[in-house]
Amino acid sequence: MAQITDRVHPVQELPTDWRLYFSFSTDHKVIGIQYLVTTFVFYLIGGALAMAIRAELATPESDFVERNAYNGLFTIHATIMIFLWIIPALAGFGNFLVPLMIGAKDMAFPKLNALSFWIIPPAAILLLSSFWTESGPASAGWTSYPPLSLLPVQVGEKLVANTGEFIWILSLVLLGTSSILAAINFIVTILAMRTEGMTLFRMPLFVWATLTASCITALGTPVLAGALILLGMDLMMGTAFFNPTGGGDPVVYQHMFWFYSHPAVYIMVLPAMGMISEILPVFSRKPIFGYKAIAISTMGIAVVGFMVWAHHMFTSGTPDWLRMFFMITSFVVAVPTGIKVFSWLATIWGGKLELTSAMLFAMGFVSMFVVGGLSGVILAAVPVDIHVHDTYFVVAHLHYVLFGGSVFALYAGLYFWFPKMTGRLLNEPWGKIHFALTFIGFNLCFLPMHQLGLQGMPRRVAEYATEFQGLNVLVSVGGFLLGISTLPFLFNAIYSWIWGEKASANPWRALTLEWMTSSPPPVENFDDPLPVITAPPYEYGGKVHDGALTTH
Amino acid sequence: MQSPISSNDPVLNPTLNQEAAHGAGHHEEHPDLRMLGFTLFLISEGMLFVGLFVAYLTFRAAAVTWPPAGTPELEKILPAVFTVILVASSGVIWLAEEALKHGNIAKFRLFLLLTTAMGTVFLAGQVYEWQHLEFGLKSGLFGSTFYVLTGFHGLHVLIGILLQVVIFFRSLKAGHYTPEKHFGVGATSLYWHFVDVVWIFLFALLYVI
Amino acid sequence: MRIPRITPNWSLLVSAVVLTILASLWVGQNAGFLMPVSASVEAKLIDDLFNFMLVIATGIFIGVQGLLLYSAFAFRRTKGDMTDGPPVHDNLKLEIFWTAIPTVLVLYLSVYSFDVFQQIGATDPMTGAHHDTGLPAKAIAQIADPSAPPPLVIQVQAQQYAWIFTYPEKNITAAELHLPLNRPVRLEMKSEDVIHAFWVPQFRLKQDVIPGRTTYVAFTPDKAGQYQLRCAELCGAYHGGMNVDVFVEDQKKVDEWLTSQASLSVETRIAQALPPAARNLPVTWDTPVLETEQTRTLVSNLRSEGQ
Repeated sequence: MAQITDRVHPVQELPTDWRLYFSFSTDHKVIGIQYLVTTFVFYLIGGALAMAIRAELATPESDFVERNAYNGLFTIHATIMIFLWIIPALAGFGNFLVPLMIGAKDMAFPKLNALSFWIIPPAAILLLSSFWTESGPASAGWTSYPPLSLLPVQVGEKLVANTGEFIWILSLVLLGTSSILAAINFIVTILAMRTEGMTLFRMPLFVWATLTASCITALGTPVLAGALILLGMDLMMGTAFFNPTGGGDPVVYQHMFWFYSHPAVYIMVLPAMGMISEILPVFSRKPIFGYKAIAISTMGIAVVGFMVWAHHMFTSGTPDWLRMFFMITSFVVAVPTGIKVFSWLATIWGGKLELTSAMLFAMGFVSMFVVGGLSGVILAAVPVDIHVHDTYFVVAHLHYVLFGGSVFALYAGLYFWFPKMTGRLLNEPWGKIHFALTFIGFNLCFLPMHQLGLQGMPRRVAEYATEFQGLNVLVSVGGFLLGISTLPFLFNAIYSWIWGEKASANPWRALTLEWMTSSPPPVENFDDPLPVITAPPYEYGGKVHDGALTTH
Repeated sequence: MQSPISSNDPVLNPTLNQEAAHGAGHHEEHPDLRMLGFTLFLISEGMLFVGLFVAYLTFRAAAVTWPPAGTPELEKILPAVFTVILVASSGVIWLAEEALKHGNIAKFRLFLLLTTAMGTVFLAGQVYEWQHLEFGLKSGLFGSTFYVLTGFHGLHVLIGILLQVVIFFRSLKAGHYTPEKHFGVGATSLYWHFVDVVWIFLFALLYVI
Repeated sequence: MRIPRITPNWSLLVSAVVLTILASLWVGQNAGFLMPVSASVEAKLIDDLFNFMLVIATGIFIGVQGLLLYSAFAFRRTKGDMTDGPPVHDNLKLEIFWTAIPTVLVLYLSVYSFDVFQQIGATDPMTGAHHDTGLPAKAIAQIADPSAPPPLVIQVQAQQYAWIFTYPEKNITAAELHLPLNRPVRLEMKSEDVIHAFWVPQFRLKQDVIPGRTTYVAFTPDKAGQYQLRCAELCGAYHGGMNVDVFVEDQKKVDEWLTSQASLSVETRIAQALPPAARNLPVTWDTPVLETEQTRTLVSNLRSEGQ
């Protein structure tokens, strides 16, 4: 059979040193690491753009960069952070962990898996190349609302075609394709390749989350692709879908865009929550509290998540009854989310906590995500949203969810699984410094934004009323601190990967399957035969102590 | 640190693989996984069309009159005939697949070629219709939606035809497809049914309601 | 094995809950600094809703952060202790409790928000187009003085990067918005190019202005002062500069201002509409006619002069 030969020969021919990571390897662990390293590079680039944004906003006047360039900065910042950092970084963790956690030798379609990854670098380079076009990069915000996104761009004294916008559309369609292919691979792997005894309700919660997020990706992304295709046609071919002068309706774009882009928040948050559900029990030495409730509320969030998109459009002329419908569904999301938060609190309650860097970031996640969740409930109320929509309050909210949430979880995951990936431990004291800097910088940067928004500062502005300068300086200082906070991590990761303390197979005494094999695991993950699962994944303090599973 | 290639790797050392038969872990134990993956892909692809259809319906609902005043009446008879041909071809490719399952490669090729021919006729009809319409892509919202929806579907038909050509040539190689193992044929056939179903909705949206 | 107490210490729990509630209420009482002055009847209702949610949010915030911090200190593993914590998997009563409480809370919030929404009479722009009076007049009549005059209708044109206001009663077009105190206002808004959004933070109201349709916002200013209308939907390079002054004053002053505007040339008035930095921009969008042909030509001329 074709696939067997595929797997025997390339594995032997591929380099065994660092060059392996630049090859078209089909090993899910190599691909997972490729995803993580690549996306971290984009995280740094997106962060650099954020520094430029904060430099501009340190003063009320538009003086640091040219106005259009400023709009390009926040557009590409958001695009990179969403489509080239959080979503693919979580896919990277999924790639590395899912087959290990369910006791499979690889993903269901290894070549497709490699392809999904290798679409990303060219798409990213394409996106970044738009900085060197005459029009500059896309500058209509990551939401890219028409008709603004369809307009030619003013450069100096003349108008030029909006090449940047077209590149942005192309790049996003490519990245969307990549994540759809990866999602299909995850769904098939999780449904069909679990080892014996790994029933659905014995799957680690990260696997549940990845399964759910993959379903969202597979169902939502095509709709975004549809919206982008129509937008691209309007831009390049002169069609009239979203162009009111030809009879089109720009609001239809908003519906199509948010039909994907709201659930996309759950693509970015659910796997992050899954990682937290893995890490908290290990360092609390207690089983996860309410395993089934968490698994089911994950699915619940995904289902309700598809019915809330128009809460991004409460001021877009959405009819009253529709606004009321979307308000209530948005409120409802708080219930399954609350279940998760309370379950995490109950998990650590009465445990034996070991405050490692991974655990600190995981607890930081719970702490910061709650703030984002609470401001989310406030935003869901239509009357209040009418005031704060498109202001810095929303900017604060989304960063508490996506940075305080997803990025804290990504860091937690990196500290936790780094030894499994590389065979070496990250340095703990440096990790704690990293956590402290991140936590302080993050709150300094994003907490004052709530007040700025409530007070009347719209988002996406290059200039603002002088009364807002004080808070903006504070925000910028926090932003730069947050930028600096990546340095200890970067140093730690590079140093530890080469010279770090060697890790045993199971340095954290965890019970899930990925820790039952060597660090790093062998090519097909487990020494034969595959392990057989006889117990749920988090049996800390139970009878089956040193192995929730047994291997024949 | 462990060597990346384990000596007791089951693929390199197949004797070790015996016991792993229960551990649902390996591709060769799941020849049907590709079909599951492909089905999921089509569901995902279907969402693209659902998105476009709903957008169309929204445009339509928001418009005061639809099609907008001054839009020439669409010819309906000819598209209906082509619709019948496309829907029928779905049955023909099913016959082809059945023939293959019974080991009758010659009959399989015959029905496959017939499907391709019917698909080509449909596509030619589409091109003919496009050439004879009195509105263009840029003549307002109706033109835009009409051409993009039919064009997008037409692209899918074209891909389906190309897939059929590929599996036809592959089937010329003896033993490439067997009654038990013919993922390429199964996927092409499923894809063709998908294209067909999409067209039924599209026809209803554009010509009937 | 030393298992930490999981059964709650009731007196500690009760006092923590009471303290949390008191702290939340205190925050609610002192959250005024978060919002700008409220200058419309609607703003009061929205602020009350916001404050209510802020109190609830503060309570949950303190609860969660308190539990996290308490756990981080109280449940630390002692060095060398390799044993596990108690194998607690779930607690049905507790789970029902923390599912039910948020459910009841969001249901109550839904009802409360719905009620505020009805009262502020946020009108549906889709149906508003067909009904002249629509919801707001009725809704406003209930809150404001019942003998209040009918709403003052003002036409608003938004375009990159200016707000232009037309007072149809007096047939005056101006670059500032002057609103009479305590009289309901209804703005009929159109955009000539891209999406903009009307937002006056002191009124707490926002409505996108969407090309190809008319949108409406209705409210009753109830505090005299000078405020700023800020564009709240990204509309291009000068989005941050698309601001204009809004004055709420006595009807008499508004009338005086209108008279003074009538004596100015239209050119002068429109010239004021564009932010200085944006006056030399080329016209980027071939728009259909403005409300008055005159203003469109003027703005175009203003822009092309700078080229």
